[in-house]
Amino acid sequence: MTAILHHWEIQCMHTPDVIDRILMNIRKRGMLVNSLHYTSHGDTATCIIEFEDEEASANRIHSNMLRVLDIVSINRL
Amino acid sequence: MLKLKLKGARYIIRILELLEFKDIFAYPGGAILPIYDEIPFSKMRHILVRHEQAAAFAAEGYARVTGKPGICLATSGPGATNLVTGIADAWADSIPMIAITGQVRQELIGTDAFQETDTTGICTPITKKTFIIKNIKDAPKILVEAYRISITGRPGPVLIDIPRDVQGADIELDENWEKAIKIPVVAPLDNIDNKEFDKAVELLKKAKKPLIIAGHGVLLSDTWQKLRNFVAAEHIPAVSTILGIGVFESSDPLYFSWLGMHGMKYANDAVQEADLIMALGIRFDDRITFKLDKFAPKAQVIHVDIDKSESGKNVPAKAFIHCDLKVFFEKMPLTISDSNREQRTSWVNYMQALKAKFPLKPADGKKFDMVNALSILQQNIPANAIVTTDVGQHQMWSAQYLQRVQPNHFLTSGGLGAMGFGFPAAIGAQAAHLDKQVWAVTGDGGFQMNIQELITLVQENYPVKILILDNCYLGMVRQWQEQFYAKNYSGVDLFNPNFVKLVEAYHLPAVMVDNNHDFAGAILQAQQHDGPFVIHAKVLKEENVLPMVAPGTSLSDTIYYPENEYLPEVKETKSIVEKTLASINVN
Repeated sequence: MTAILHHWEIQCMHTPDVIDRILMNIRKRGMLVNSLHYTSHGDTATCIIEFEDEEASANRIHSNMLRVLDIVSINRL
Repeated sequence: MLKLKLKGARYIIRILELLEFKDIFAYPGGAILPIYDEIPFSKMRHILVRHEQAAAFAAEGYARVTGKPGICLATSGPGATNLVTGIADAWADSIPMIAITGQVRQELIGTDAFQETDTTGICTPITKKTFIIKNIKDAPKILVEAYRISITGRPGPVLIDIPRDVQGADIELDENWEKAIKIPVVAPLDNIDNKEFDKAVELLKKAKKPLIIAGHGVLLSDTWQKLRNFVAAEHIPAVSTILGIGVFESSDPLYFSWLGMHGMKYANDAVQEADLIMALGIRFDDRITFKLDKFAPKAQVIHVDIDKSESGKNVPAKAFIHCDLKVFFEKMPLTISDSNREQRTSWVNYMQALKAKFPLKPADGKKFDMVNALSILQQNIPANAIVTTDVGQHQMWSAQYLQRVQPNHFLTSGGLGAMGFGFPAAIGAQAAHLDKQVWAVTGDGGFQMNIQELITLVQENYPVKILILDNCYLGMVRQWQEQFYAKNYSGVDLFNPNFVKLVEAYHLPAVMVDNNHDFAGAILQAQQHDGPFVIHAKVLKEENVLPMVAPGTSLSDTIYYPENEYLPEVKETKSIVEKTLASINVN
């Protein structure tokens, strides 16, 4: 298994806890994000993250993120 | 329009009343004092626990039996952190709950003030949502939204942190402000992809050995009757998860009990033999799948769930249907036909023969072990009694031997597996159903994790009956040490207090029993007593829960009882059944 670079564009609600909720799914695996770019647009926001992980593990992170109420969509760039 | 002025705390309490919260499980402290100043004037019943963890578990017990959000309240700092295990339990088992915590005044946040903790930060991973009410004007919006979130989609806990200055702030309101507060009503989710749905229908039509696995989602969506009707009409066998216990009556001929680590061997075998799994409201927990590549090796999977994040998370599905089960059962057409009727009948017959071949070990009525004790309890409590359990061996044996007739009458901590859950959950269940008999079945380990709540029972006059199954061990850990760590018992030997004397010190009656006959008498005594009662049952020490699937193996490797444990009549039945099994064609 090889770690590959992932770039995800996450559309989300602009709320106080949304960045924590995005990151917790990566942080709880002891992993790091290489970069995070967050921009708000009124009530919503766009968060672009880059991290390295194996494909299967990244798929699990994707599933976990879908449970976050404030995440509207995740686009794998 | 006439204006009126309210204190923030009064405003919050009144909103909770308007949301029809009737019981609040709580413990006071400095940062929640303004709320406490209003509680004596509230219509809500305040249940004073003795540890905040019990407040959260009690709120869960309340929610699990009513389907409505349970509510718990604590102060900042240690009050909030003590709630955490109960909130995590609600998260793991998808229980609607609203946890309210006091917080230090806003100008003190970040000063490491007395009893300041980052409560929303701590609770983010174990809640659907967290809120801080920064301005009292936002209270109705946040409280109603928290209610809505807790019951919408996959239910779960929501935390609301309220700084003390917000509780103490004044607010000016229109005199008819209360009319704006409405209890949220949520329409059943329908995100069905028609292609996936049609695929599922075709898969079911063609399946020769279809099996339903019904999970907690069936209870949470209030669709057990629809499921029962569906199963009967389709003539498809079903098993449940441990949290799905209650979706069928145990006597239903198409229900084959629960699967998993300590589930029935015949249920586990059925999963491995099935060619189609229809998974309804389950999350494919590792305690039912074990090695994923060996789970249901012959089956295609239809997965129906309200939570999109469960799609393919653990087990890939041939068809994933994203909706509330109410919608699913409304839309699902009948698939039984002349082309599959015979196969389904043969498959059901096969499963019935499997069930007869691998029954649960019957109580022998002799030694005083947990199997005998729970079998006696089952025979002597009303069919509509609510049973809660703690976590460990007694939990698994309770799930095996205590057959509850009604849904949501067997409460257990499934996902988190939190010792200490059972007794306070029983308090919550009793608060919700004062008319019902509630039994907390617990072990000597778990009971001591929330033993302080005995006095809560007395103060609130809740007639919960408590059964402590005492084997002087942390039994499940001991069992694992026996089986997987060469019997190197470490940290499991419990030197226990005199439970009867201890309980009596809490002003409750209690008896100690150490044999089946006295135990039956004690149950009667407990039921005749108009109030809480404790039975301390000293059972055999080194018994192991079977059947069992060892970690790292698969459902196909379910360990059954040693042959010499069988009664002669069971052995005889087995040989007859083996011949029957051989004669049934399910291929």
